[in-house]
Amino acid sequence: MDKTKPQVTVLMIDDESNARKMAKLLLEREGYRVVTAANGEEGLILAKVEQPSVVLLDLMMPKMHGHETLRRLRGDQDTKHIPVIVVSARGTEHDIASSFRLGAVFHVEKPYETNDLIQKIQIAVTLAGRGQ
Amino acid sequence: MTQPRVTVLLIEDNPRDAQIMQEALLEAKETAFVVEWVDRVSKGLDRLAQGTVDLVLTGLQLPDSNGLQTVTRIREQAKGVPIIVLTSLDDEALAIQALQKGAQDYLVKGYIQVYRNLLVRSIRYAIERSRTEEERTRLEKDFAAAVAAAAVADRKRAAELDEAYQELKRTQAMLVQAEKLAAVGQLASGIAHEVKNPLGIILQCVNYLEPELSAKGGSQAEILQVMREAVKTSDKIIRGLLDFSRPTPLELKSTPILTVINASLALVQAQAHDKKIRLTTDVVPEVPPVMLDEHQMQQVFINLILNAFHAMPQGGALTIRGRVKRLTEARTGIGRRTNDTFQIGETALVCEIHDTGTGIPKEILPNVFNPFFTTKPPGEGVGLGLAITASIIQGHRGIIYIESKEGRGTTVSIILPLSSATPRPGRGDGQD
Repeated sequence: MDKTKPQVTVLMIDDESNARKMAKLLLEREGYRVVTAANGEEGLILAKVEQPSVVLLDLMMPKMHGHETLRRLRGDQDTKHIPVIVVSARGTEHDIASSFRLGAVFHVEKPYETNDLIQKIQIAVTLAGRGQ
Repeated sequence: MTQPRVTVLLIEDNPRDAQIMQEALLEAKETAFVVEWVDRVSKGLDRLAQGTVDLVLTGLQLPDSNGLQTVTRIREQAKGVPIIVLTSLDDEALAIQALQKGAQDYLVKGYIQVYRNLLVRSIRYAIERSRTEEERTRLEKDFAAAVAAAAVADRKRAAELDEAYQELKRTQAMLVQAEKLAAVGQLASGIAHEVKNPLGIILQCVNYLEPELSAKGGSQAEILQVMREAVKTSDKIIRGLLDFSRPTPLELKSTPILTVINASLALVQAQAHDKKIRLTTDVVPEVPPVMLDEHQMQQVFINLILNAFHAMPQGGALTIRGRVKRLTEARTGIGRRTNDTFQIGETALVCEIHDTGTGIPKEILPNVFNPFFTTKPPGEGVGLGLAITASIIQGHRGIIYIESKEGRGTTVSIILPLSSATPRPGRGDGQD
């Protein structure tokens, strides 16, 4: 990653610890700063506190579903500017439509290639930086 | 008392013998005999051709016929008429053969002169035997015909029963299959998503190791590629499963609800009869056709009807009502919020399926639409009927709810929009 650019912080919300661990390893290797949350509630707090450049959001999580988390992120003044990429095992038309309707920038279906995700993170961050 | 007249055709070329016979017969008191005498077989056959002869009395040796041939010829001419053969003392053996050819009896001429009674008795017995024989033949024929008819009827009924049974088996297999498919679909969908998560992690691991191992080249880089391919293959299989489990899209057509109701009832008619359940349809004629998928809506009605049957093990009544109603009462799906399916005050088609069954206990009523919720013993139901029913109704932009009083019965209400509506995307993707 280009060291001259300000470091991009990625918040990953996923209940699967191995998924969090691998995403952290992969993204940190690419130069990102990665913070992780194991559920939606924790994620909402971290998003407010950390003000990440982008949120990676799982859908099927206990207690609070990812789409509910997304709705709350977009509904909160402190977090609604943060682009959200849904990263989920679910990928039916209905799932994807819900993600977009609720304001996600991308819906990435697991399993995914890390390069694809990184590309989308960059696009999301760039778009957000331009104020879109 | 008038006695029956018996017409006897006497074929005898010997005038003296003929004379004796006639006298013997005319003397008889119990029976009134009419004797017609001819002296040639050919004349006798002519007379027989005219009918109304009750019995033939014939010699065997005649100028135009000899021996057994005489009996054969007469037999052929008049099948049902009994024949008594007159013989001389010396040809009794021949007379016995005549019996085998179809004569009823034989009399030795010499005896008749002595025992005149013998002739009358013999004639009476011959006629009697002949009648009995005729009657027996007739009965046998009737019986055979009856047996044959019964066999045909039996075969027909057996064929009908078999057909009905096969039809039932097909329907049952279809229902079982539909349930199984739904169950497999739900399971597949649930499992598939669970499996995609670890697959995702494996692919991330591959991604992580790639830069280092690829740089080294050789077998380790190759192994990573194998792992990646294995992940992709698994993912492809799972996507296939998900496609399979995804419900077929609705084919909406403007259809009278009564068409669906009648088609559903036709399928359960026999079962209703067996279970002593009275079926009543009450759909007012003002109900307009609505947009629906006939096939899937039929599945809805059959599900609900069979549930109702299940609740009425002692028999009862099932009523299906159809009305156009203004919705005035708020409930789940009916309200004033924009995401309520129906707005209060909106007019809609309301179908009610009412049974007089055991009712649903209050504590389980909230669970009945959950997939895999069942009150049936294991193996008898997987608990998807109402879940599928609800998802089909939701696909039609309708709502379904159940009201029940334990011991009194249950009413399932289906509310469907009157205006042509587009189906909701993805029925069955209910987790989101």
